[in-house]
Amino acid sequence: MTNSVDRLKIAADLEELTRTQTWLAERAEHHQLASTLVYALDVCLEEAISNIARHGAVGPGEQSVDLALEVAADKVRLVIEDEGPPFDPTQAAPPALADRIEDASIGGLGIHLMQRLSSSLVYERRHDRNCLTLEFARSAAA
Amino acid sequence: MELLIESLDNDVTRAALIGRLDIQGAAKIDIRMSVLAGSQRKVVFDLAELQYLASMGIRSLVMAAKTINAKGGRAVLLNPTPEVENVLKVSAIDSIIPIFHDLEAAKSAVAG
Repeated sequence: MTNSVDRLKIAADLEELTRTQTWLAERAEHHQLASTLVYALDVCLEEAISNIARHGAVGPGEQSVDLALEVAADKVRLVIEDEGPPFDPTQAAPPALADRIEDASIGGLGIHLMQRLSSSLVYERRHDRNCLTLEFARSAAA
Repeated sequence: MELLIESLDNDVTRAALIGRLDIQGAAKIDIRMSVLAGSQRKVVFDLAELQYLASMGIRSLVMAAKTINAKGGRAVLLNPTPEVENVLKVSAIDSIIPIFHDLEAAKSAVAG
C-alpha cells in the first residue's frame, strides 16, 4: 500500500504554532484520524516545536523546521527535522514526578508527554539536522 | 482561551478553563491565574470545556495549586475530558492535584 505524506515547512518560532495546529487539524480531518490520536499529535507537535524554538542557537525566524505526517492504515508517523545545534530530547533527564504538591517541580514535562503519548520516539542527527521520528498506533492511543 | 471565575457557597471558587491551554493560551490567562491563586484558598478548576492541555498548561495549574496550598488552601480539578485526564495521569499530576468527576465532591474536598 502507499502511504500518504503531508509536509509543512515552518520557521523555528513559537509564532508558527497556530499555523501548525491548523495544518494538523486539516490533515487529521482529511485522513479521518481518531480524536485521541489527533490530541497526541497536537501535544507532540507543540512540545517538539517549543523545544526547537528554545534550543536553537540563532534568532527566531532564521531556521526552518520541516514537518512530515505520514499516514498508513495501521499507524501514523510524524517526522520533525530542524537545522539547530544537536539536541537529543531522548537524552534529557526525566522529570521528577512528585507525589506532593510542595515537591512538584514546574516544567520539564514536555519530553515525558511526547514519550508517553507516542508508541515510539527516535532521535537521529542526519546531515547536520536534528531528526525526531514519532510513531502512533491508529487503533488506539499508545 | 478563557478563564471564567465564579464564587460558590462556603467561599469556594469555581474557575472554568475554556478552550486550548497551549503556550498561547497559558500566556493569555497567566496573570489572572496568579491573581486567583493569590486571593483564593478553595479552588475548583473546572476542566469540562478544556479542549487541550500539555506541559505549559500543567505548569499553570501546578503553579496555581502550589500558591493555594502554600497558604493552607486546597485546589482540585473537575471533569477533565478523557484526553486531558490521560495527560494529567501520565504526568502524575492527579496525585498532587486530585481529580473529581462530581461538583459536590470537588466542593467538599476543597471546603474540608
